[in-house]
Amino acid sequence: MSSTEQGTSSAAPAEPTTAPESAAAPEVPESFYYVHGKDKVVHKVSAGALQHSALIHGMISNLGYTEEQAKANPFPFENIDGDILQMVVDWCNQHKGKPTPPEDTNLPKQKEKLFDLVLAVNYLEIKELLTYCCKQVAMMVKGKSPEEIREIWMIPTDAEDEAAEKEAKKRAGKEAAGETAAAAGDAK
Amino acid sequence: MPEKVLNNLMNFLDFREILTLQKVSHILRNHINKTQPDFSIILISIHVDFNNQKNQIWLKTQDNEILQVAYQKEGNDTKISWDQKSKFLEDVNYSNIFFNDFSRILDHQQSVLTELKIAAHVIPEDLKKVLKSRKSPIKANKLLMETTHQSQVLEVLPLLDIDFLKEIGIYEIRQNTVQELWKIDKIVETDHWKSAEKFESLGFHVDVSVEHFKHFSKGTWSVSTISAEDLDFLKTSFLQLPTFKFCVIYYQIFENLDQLLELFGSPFMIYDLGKENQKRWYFEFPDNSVLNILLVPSMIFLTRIEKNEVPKGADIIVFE
Repeated sequence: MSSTEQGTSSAAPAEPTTAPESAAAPEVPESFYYVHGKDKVVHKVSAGALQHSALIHGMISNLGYTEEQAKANPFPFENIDGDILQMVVDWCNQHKGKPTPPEDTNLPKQKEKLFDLVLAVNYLEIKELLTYCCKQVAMMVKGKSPEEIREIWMIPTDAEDEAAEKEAKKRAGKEAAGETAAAAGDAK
Repeated sequence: MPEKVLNNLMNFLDFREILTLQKVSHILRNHINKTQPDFSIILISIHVDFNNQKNQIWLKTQDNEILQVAYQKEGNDTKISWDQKSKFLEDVNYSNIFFNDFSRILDHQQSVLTELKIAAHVIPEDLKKVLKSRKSPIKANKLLMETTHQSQVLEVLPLLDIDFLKEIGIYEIRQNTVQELWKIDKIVETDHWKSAEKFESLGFHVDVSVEHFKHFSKGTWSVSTISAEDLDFLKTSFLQLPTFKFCVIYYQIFENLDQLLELFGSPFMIYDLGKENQKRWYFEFPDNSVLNILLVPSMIFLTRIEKNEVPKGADIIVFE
């Protein structure tokens, strides 16, 4: 059961209509979770900050970890580089419980980092950050020619793509042939 | 790039950039063809040449950038010109290329156009095909048609989404010195006409009763003859139309002016130089604003004004 669900009961007494002034509501301790990327560096992040990520939020809701369990089982995101995950965690912390601004100018200027961030954010399903990143990526190609866009976005030409595909098929064919031969050898 | 990322990117690109992206790689081309991202164009205007030499299209983006593309016949070839650039396409018909491009643009246009303008003496079959082949009707707030006959208007008007169409403009495309009388009896029977809020025409006289104009909050049209009863009918109708703003009627002959004086009473006159022919009446709307009727030779203006705009000494006739 998650912390937010604790304390609900069908037999709960009716709440007083006005709370006595002296009895301030006790603060609910914030729950924390742990995530790590490819570099295995573990980041402690509050549930509030993680709410930005639909993926992690869904995982948290389904698992219902206690603090100890969460610490012992950090969410592994092996497909995300450590520095990129750090950026994501920082962004989630900065925007915890706050309405997101219409623009975000603190995104990486280096395009490789920005592209990696886009993929990470898309995977983690952080809608607002994805929109900011996509806007920045889109702005890079405004008014550019197809050739310039290919270079900026690092997209291979159709010919290069076809050649790579052919090569991959060839390799797969060879590997399959090797496996068949090995299997035939085993059968003998 | 994942599909969701590509879709998100497209939201920040205008139609020219999306068309450029199609040339970047087959993955982007396939994605764009499959998802048909919205071009978010606000204005499309096409001009179909009567002499079969050149068709043109104007497109305006949400950033108010305008792109004009001309498709010109050059023997058996086509010259396409835009932004001071041009290219030749050998052995292709200029009109086929034009309508292919127009069709592609419309396929991508999901958001509401503020204006669609079509100028053609006769609506070409290719254009009818493009308009009729759409899965959903075109959404446009304003349809402007420069053409020759109501039959041509009817090739387009009913194909627009009625829920979005607010304004209809019909203009005579021929530069006639004498205004022709246009039959618009079938246009006024369309639901699109009945639900529109603004109508404007230029270059021809309409041949239908003023009854068909009583619902327009803004209107400009021309008639060969108007009578005192017609103007009285419009006055009564507009006084009951809460959204009424203005109406301008061009006329050649005003029948029975004496009867108008009986119906409206004596006009308010301003005897300044140049204003001797101006007859004015003021009628009160139920909300206390005022309908100003100004009759001058060849034009009638009906305008909603505020009470404090009524000149001193003029009577305001209370509507009963």
